[in-house]
Amino acid sequence: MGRITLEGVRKSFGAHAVIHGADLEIEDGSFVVFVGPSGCGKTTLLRLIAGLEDVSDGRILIDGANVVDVPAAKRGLSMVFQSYALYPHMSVRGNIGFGLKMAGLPRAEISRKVEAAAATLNLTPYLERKPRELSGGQRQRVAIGRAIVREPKAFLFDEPLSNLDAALRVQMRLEVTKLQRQLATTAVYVTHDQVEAMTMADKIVVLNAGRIEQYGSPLELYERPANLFVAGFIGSPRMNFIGKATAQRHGAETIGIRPEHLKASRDGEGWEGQVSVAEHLGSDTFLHVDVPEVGSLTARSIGELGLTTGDRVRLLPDPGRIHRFDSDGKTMSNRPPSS
Amino acid sequence: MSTAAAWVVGFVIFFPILWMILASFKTELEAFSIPPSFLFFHWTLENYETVQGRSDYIHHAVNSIIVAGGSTLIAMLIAIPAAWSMAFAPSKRTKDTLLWMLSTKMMPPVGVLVPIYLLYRTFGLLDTLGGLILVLCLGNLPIVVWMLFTYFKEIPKDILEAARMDGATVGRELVYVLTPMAVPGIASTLLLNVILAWNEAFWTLNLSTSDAAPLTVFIASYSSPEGLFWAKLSAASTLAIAPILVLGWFSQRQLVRGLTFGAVK
Repeated sequence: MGRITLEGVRKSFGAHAVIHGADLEIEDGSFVVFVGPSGCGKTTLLRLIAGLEDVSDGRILIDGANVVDVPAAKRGLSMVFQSYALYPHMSVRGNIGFGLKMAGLPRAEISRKVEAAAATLNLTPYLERKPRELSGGQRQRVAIGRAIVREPKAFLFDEPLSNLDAALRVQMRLEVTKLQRQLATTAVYVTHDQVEAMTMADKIVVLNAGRIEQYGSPLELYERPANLFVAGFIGSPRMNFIGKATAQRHGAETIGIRPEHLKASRDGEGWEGQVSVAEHLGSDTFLHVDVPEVGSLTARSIGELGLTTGDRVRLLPDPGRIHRFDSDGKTMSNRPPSS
Repeated sequence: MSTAAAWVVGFVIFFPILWMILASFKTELEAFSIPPSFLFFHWTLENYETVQGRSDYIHHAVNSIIVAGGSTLIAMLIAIPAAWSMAFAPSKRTKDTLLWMLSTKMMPPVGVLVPIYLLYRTFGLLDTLGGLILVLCLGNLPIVVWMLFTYFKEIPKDILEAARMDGATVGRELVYVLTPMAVPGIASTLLLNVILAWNEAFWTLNLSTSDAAPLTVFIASYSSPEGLFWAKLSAASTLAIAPILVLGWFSQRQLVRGLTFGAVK
């Protein structure tokens, strides 16, 4: 079991408040990702759950028991650190088995479990090596092995893939997801990379300046962002925001249209503008277009349009996918009467 | 070429010590003959016999070992927890505390000689091993704390937190993770402190005369009263530095590693 509940959790460092009252329900076996810009408090929130920081106020419950006064060592959670934090003086075997040794398991059982974990992670040939003799990816696996071998109530991941190169990151992303599904253990994963968040999570917590902006499944966040911040943070390229008269025609302070919901054509309907930059990715083209009426917009088109800088283009928004926000930046519930 | 230069520099630095050792095997007459004889003289052990006969070398050497070893051990016992807490659980005043500790080393010791002498006299600590251990321990403590602090600082906090997440209590975190990782730093601090305490002359000369007198007092007794007897003084000095020279020789790798810790990474 590994059900984690946060109730009014606050954290301040001196007079500086970092977490302003977080309430959250993490279900057993789910994969929850904390995402947000740097300095939003996502790592602090994870460390509060881990017990590496003390809460200033509020309760943290693991399987219904309040753990705020329980030291990190006794919470039954395991953590994978950004820096891997392997014990440099121990072999891979010693690293993976350290938690079991601390738990006082018999030597034979430690050995059996360590070897099983190593086999899962393809680390068997490296068991007797020291961390310094391993590549970055292998060190990462050792760190994960150390976390899974203890069969914890939950895994905590603190930006574990950010030190890997892009190709390895994609591969490890898949492996971590698969492993978590296979073990069906609760996982809390911190990242600033929204692609990681979208692809790995059952549910995403979007944090901004120490507040939870929204908690929901990746598609909920994409389709129904709660406010301007979430709308702008989730999705790549970023959502286009349009204010002033255009927004008021939709009965809103601001409207948002995702680049993929703007249909670009050489001559058709919609706003007319001039391409300032065209980014060709092969599969897609990102067009940055200056529209005199509304400002600069980004449009994403499938395939090649053959447009380059300076070309005239028409952009037509998908009327059903226009997001409307009020003056507080909150999403307005009803669809506009007309578009 | 650079190796040759290093040998030359090394020889120049070592020459006075070599000369002293050579002189200790000469007769008094040969010791200050001009031109000096380098290797071709009448080798003799008579200086060593005289020195041991006139003043008890073993007694002073044992005192030196007790004072250097004792003050180092006590300093380490105080400094390890101190440096640990400053490195891993710093407070707002940690930096100030460290600077304040270091500032005590900037004051010339002679400035507090009279108060300390009077305190020692009042408490009956003059010419006692305990008194010397106390003053050397306190005198070297700032350096020991500073050195350990810089070594501990190099240990990533993440690793200690990982141990905590792995279920290690503070005690086990210390034994299984921190200490093994800090061993080079602890060892070189220990060695350096032994050497500093061994060589310390100001306090040992001023606060001890015979019972607790270490080798510094032993050498000093060969200086002025009877005029200068170069050969005997050399023999006494050679005897005084011999133990520490041997210790230094065997631990040089560890010392160099400790002193350049962090700088070469």
